[in-house]
Amino acid sequence: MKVRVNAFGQMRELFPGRQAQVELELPAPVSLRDIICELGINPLIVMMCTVDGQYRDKEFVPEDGAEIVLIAPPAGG
Amino acid sequence: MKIAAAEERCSGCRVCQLVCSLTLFRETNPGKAAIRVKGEFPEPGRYWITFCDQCGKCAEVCPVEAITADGGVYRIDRDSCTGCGLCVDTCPKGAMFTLAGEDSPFKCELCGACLEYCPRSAVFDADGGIPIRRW
Amino acid sequence: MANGYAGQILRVNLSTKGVAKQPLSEELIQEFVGGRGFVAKLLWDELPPGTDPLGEDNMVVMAAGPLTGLFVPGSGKTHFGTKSPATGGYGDSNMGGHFAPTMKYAGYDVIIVTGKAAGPSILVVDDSRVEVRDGAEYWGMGAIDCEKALKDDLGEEFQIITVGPAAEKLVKYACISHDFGRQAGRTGVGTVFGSKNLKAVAVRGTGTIPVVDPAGALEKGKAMYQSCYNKPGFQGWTPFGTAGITDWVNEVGAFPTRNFQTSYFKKYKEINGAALREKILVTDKGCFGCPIPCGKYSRARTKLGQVTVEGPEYETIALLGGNCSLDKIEEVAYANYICDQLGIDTISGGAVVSFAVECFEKGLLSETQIGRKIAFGDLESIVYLLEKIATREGIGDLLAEGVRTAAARIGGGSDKFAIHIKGLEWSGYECRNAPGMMLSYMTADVGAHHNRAWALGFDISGGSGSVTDLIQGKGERPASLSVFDPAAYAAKVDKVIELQHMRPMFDLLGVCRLQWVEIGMEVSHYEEIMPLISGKQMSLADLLVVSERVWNLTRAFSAREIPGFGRSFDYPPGRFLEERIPDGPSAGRVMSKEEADWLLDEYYRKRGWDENGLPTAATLEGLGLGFAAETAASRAK
Repeated sequence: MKVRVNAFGQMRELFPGRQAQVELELPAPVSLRDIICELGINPLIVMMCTVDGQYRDKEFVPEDGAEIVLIAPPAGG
Repeated sequence: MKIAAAEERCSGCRVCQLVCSLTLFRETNPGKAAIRVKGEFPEPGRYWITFCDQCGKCAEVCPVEAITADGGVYRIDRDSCTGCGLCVDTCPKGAMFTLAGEDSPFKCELCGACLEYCPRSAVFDADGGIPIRRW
Repeated sequence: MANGYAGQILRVNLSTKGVAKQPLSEELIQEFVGGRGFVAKLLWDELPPGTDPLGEDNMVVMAAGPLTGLFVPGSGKTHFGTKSPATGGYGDSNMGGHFAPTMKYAGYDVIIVTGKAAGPSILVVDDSRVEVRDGAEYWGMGAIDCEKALKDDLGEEFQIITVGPAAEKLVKYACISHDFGRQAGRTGVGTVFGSKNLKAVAVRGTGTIPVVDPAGALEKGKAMYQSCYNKPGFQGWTPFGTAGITDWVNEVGAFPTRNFQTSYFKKYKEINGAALREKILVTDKGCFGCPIPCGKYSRARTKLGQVTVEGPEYETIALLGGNCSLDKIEEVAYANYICDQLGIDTISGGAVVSFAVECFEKGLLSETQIGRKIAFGDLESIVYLLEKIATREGIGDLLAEGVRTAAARIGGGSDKFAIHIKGLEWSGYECRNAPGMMLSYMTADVGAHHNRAWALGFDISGGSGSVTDLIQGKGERPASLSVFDPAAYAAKVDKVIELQHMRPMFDLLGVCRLQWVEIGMEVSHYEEIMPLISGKQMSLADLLVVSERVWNLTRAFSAREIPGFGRSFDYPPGRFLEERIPDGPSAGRVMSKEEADWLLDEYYRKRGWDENGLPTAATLEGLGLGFAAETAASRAK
């Protein structure tokens, strides 16, 4: 299955090749936590995730074709 | 294109006023915008948007017929305008604006820039021609 | 000259009610750009060395930047600066809302207030008409109530800044308030207003800000806004604003809890962004030109009553929420409102209140001294203390001085848990497990403040600067944070320095940095728009040089004004060097003095500062600050 993972805000600095978007081929459905690790990123740095526009926690398992956004923590104010 | 407002979505940012004054007058000056935002704080904690809905009452009262409809959009012929101010007083929305040092007032000519750039679609195109931002 | 600036500095002497207008010089623009740059240079040039921060000769500088008020995302920022009554050194605070844009429409890039009015006064700026007026009827009002009264009296088109009763009583961390919910919170900028008998400044501006290419600026502005709107996740970030990071900060064990005794608040989900949105939100509320907005206006009902307030944003959730252990969002909002009306910085206010509670728990302050029992998690205690502070009644008189002074008088080892640096109370991030962020706090120019270099993300990602050098993990803390690793720490120093130039750069331009920091709007847009505004090229590299220049100037200013200033002012409190975090995700961590010294040595070396943390003459001259080098040389002797 395929998912598209988008980097939001400063998350882009951590994406492979500093791209804003990566398409991943996965042999089987896995959790967002595993997808993040697959990208070489420690899930600790991901503040929030959305899947197809909905907030999901890192244990959520996206479906084939899911549009995922990983959001890095902002800086408060 | 038909301008409509969902005032509960307004955040008071005035991006509409900025893009309007730059479009109408090529000036950065929210005081020269044909759309205005006003906050009502601390209570109840909301914004009011003043905009022209092209109702045509200004055209009805203009004694020299300087305001005419052009495809549903009411425009002022500034050369004919005598600056009597009747349209300003008559406008039910308060959306006819005076310009310091000028006789002729100015109004919205439905260019749609505010509808395109409002971050929250607090003003939007009720005809659906411009994408709406909702979250 | 059409270049994005309004072109004038407005000077008001409250002692004489004298008003003067001065053209903005090309040199000031070229070397210091705007906003924070103007503040730093004007303070250096014009404040008599050794001025009493609460005396007549202190100045408050209010500055816009070249992009303030323009069709650019987040163009609403005002930068305030003064000699801080809290620290005795460089103090500044950056405020959102609509004030500085209106200054520019009225024709002023900078307003400088000096002197002291004979009685309570307000300053009214109505385009070119500037007047110091009697303000007696407003004196004593809450900051929010005063703004409402002035809007009613002067007209809704006026943009207004006010101070509350706390400033009138010279509470050392009194803030400036604006637009029913925005503040210039830190370093006592409000206190200085109070010391000058200045209750409010009201500005109306009907003019145009001239730019070189309005048509080009319109198209470029459109592209900048579209760039924000098109970012995936834009719609995900905006509902909560900065409150949205509460969960994450707890999950990584960096959340101030009970006067920084620990760094994880068990009930954080009751006071996070989702709780705000679900339970108390009235409207999203934005600053001038903002595509987001981060502001949230709320209505909250508690056992003490109902309030409407802008907030709580993250820092308030951290310092009034976790740090005081309030576990209901309604109660955090209530405490937020109390601070906003009294005109007390929620960060310092929360820090001082939680310090007082810990003193009480440890028997260092008695029930008699305080006037009642106080406790963490008790809204009544917190409100009681804030009201005492604002009136300087009873224990409030001591607490109004801030934790550093309060601890010095209370004694009993309380200085160890007086959580401040340089006399400015710590803001919303526990750093014993985040050495880069700790260094950021240690070296921030105004004192313990997070916003100069937000390096926490860099620490948590185990980052050493390059994407290919990640530390993999399934959600555990990276190994490098468990041991003192000089190689990793060197990268942290680099990152802190980089951020200390990049982030305050936005304060030069007079715009908000959240569009870049949080949404990821490309910073190249700022380079591209500058020629359309001013007709001149200004690259990011040029701007970062100015930012570095300002960084060194503010350090030199504090060195000039604070006797004995140097390395000893850069250490965190004893708690952070001696107590291990007791529980939560960062349990067991503490920063050692050895690490702190290593970080400072490396930081000073990389900055071209001497071992005592003072910029060398060579460094100052290299940045065009030769005029400050003489003072540095005489200080070094």
